[in-house]
Amino acid sequence: MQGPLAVFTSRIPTTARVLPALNGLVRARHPSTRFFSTTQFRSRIAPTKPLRAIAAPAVGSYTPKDGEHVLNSPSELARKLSAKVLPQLDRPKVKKVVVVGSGGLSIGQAGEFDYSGSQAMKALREEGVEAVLINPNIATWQTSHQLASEVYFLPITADYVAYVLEKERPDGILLTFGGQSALNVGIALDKMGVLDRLGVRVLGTPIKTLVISEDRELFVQALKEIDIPVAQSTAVSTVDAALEAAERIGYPVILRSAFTLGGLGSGFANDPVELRDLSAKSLSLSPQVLIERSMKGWKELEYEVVRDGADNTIICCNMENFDPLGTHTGDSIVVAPSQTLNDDEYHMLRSAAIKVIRHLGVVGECNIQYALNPDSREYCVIEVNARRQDTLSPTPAAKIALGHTLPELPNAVTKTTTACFEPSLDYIVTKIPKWDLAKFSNEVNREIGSAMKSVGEVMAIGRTFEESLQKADAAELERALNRPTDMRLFAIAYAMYNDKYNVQEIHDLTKIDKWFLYKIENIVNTSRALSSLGKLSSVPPPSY
Amino acid sequence: MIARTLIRSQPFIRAFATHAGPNTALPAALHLKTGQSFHGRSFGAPRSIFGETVFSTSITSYTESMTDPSYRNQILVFTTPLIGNYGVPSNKAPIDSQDVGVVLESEGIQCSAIVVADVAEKFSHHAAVESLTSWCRRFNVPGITGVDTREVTRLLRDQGTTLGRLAVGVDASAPAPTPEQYWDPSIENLVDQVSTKVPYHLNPDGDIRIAVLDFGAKANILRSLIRRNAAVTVLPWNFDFNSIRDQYDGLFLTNGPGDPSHCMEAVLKLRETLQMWGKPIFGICMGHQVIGMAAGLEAYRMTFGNRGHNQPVLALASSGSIKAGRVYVTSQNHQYALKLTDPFPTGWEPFFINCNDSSVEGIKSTEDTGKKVWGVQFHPESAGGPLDTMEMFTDFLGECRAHRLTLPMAATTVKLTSSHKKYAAPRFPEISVSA
Repeated sequence: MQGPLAVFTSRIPTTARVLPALNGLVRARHPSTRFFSTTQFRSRIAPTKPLRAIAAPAVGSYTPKDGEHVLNSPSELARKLSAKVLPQLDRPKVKKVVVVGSGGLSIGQAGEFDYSGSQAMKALREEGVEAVLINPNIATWQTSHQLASEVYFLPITADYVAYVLEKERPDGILLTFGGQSALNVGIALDKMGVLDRLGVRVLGTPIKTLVISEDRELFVQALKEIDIPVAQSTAVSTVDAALEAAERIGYPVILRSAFTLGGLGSGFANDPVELRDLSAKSLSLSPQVLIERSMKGWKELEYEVVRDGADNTIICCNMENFDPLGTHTGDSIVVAPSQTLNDDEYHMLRSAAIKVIRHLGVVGECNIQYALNPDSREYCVIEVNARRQDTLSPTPAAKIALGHTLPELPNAVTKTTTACFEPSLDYIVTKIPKWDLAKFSNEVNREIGSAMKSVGEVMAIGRTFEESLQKADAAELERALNRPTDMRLFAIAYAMYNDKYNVQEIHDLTKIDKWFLYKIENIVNTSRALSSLGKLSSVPPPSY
Repeated sequence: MIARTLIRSQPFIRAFATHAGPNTALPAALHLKTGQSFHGRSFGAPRSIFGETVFSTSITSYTESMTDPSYRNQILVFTTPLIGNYGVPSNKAPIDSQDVGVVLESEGIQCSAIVVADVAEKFSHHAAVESLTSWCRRFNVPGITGVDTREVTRLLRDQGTTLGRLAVGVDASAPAPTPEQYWDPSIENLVDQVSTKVPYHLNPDGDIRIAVLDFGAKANILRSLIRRNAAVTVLPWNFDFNSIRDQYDGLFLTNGPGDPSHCMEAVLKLRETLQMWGKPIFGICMGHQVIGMAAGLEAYRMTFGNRGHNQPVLALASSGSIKAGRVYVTSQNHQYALKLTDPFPTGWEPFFINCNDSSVEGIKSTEDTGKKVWGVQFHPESAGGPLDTMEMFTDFLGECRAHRLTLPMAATTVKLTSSHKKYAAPRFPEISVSA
């Protein structure tokens, strides 16, 4: 029989006979598989259950020919077809690359950059590229000699990095793996003309993009070009100008200082008196501050975006802050993926993120932060960090900087499928920041705000928000018991009151003699006995 | 120690979760034809149903998915554990040049039941008017919460889409049905159930006339057309478009539920259209399969289908906003796909393939035919899902406009025979079609 009617005489996926590539799908124990009697492919229907049906092992023997760029896919047919269309991006011929690290750990410079730098160096080594690291912090994993061929324990400043470049004469430099300090150094080196003079190629996101993302006025201008709303801001360099700008915008306002770490010197002002104080303080730290409309109370969201040199752009994860705008992200409890956005809002922000990142020309990974009005679809971009930000998304940003494209790179989890894919989490991640405010003077303000004060974070994964929050909290309590601080007595009491730990467990964690712990347990038990009596009159008189 | 173990064990946490459903909820059980059973608690309508169990990996958009007619008669398992967080919005919208009468994808819930790990009894969102539970109850759709959806998904992924039964209340403790008792929705012509029964117009003042064959159209397809200023006439899936084709500048074939073999009538009619009519044609999902079958390709049933918002597809050809060699992240919902053959039928070429399983994600007419016909398996209109390929609507209407300029202006009326009036009321209010 000819024509389409013949097609449906049997609706069994006979495709497997034609397309070995689809075997990954039909191999599963679908009742219809028993119909596959064609001996030729019988042998390919492996008896073992595939680990991941979606990411079935590679089928067929198609391997890329010399110079061909091929999709990373379990399907041979997909690999073969892709070779004809995937862009042949020129991969920079680099032998030696300088990686700028994040420097000494301080508030506002998170330890996560150690991880991202280490990943970058691993990627370089896989590509056979010599990695030279500059990082003064010996207490990091990336400075171990297993990763870098040469490590310079020098401060992350333009002068020192220029010195290393002179000495090492690398072909390329990676600036996006060391946080804010590395970006600032890159911009400074470019201004000094060092990179041009030595012929050092900036790999990944170009300097021009870094400058735009860091300079508020250029940034606002760039986003206006593509009609993406961004917080209206006025740059000022005197206290009087700040007051004038605030009058125009209307109180409350937020004051931001450019080029600083962790939002240092930033904050909210509800009236001219507060603004006068705050702007005077900020202008002593930064030559220029920005006065913006306050969006206090709006939801704060982040999207992690990856773009390659061929313009493939994906979102590897999004995050929602537990605390509304006004609390620095570093100090906020954060969940991933976002939980309170509907589809429309999620994809409105996703599309905006892709548009912004393409317009700015980021190559590699970056992070975009949004404020979203909780009562409408109104949103605006807070900022873009053109750097690797987070440890939640193991994407091969360094390989992208070396000219690979996302479709060619393997998905870090499945290995057989492509990295050009957006993970769909079936769990929720909660991150709780760790504060250590007591380390500072007695006068330290315990309020958290738009300048980051946390010194670390605890992260936990669960299938419900309750589970992941409590796991993170339990980890936090364990840490409090494990590492004595001035708060240790309260941590012990909390653990006992809430039946989180018994005496033996607290002893295991704290090594405090159990005799003391039994006595504290007595206090807790007495307190419970008293409160169970309900009222003072029912308390029996002391027996002695 | 006991207390700690209790607190740390999952069921304990779940029992104390504020939104895991009231403790008074009825027991419920999900039975699969392959013999597995999962127990949990009921929410929504207190009734038991049969259906085809499928899973979706979308993180957001439970409201859009549940109202998508392509999920007709399916028991939908969400891999995302927390469902219902943002409640359900009011589903009323004006019918004008921007809207088609609904906010979501159709007027009511289309899937037959939902399976979630942790339903939110309490919701929070500015647009929400009711909880997921109350919405399900209003549309008589049962749900089950407290199920290990990860385990269900693993099963469905390995054994393929499976028939199932959601048993609620006393039924939950009754023995699971025997295999022959399971009802298979794919034997029914689901397209006929969800398609409009009578033609109707949307945005009659648009500058270009587009006919839409409704196989179970998601509202956002219609919205995407009228918001680009198209005057749209929505026709039943088996309407004889050839009798009125000269009045239109383009033809659109929508998504739809179930097996494309039920739509042979439309395939044969479209084959005539393809031969006799030179104007642009665009199909999505079921529409794509119908175009492919009219072109001579075969359709087959996939093991577990592709449902979710994160399917990467590789463009093999450039056309309009689509660039060859680019990977697009797409929204998908299908159990059937077109078979990739080599060579492709004359005059046709593959447009997109799925990066994971190399299934056909799009086909197009070759340049040398001079025709502009595309079909895509994924959903460029999103709702829910990524908007990466949204501009394909602009491309389509751009081609229609280009063709309109070279041909006489289309006539402005559709002559309807009275026989159409005998059908039930359309899903969207009917607009007078006589000029």
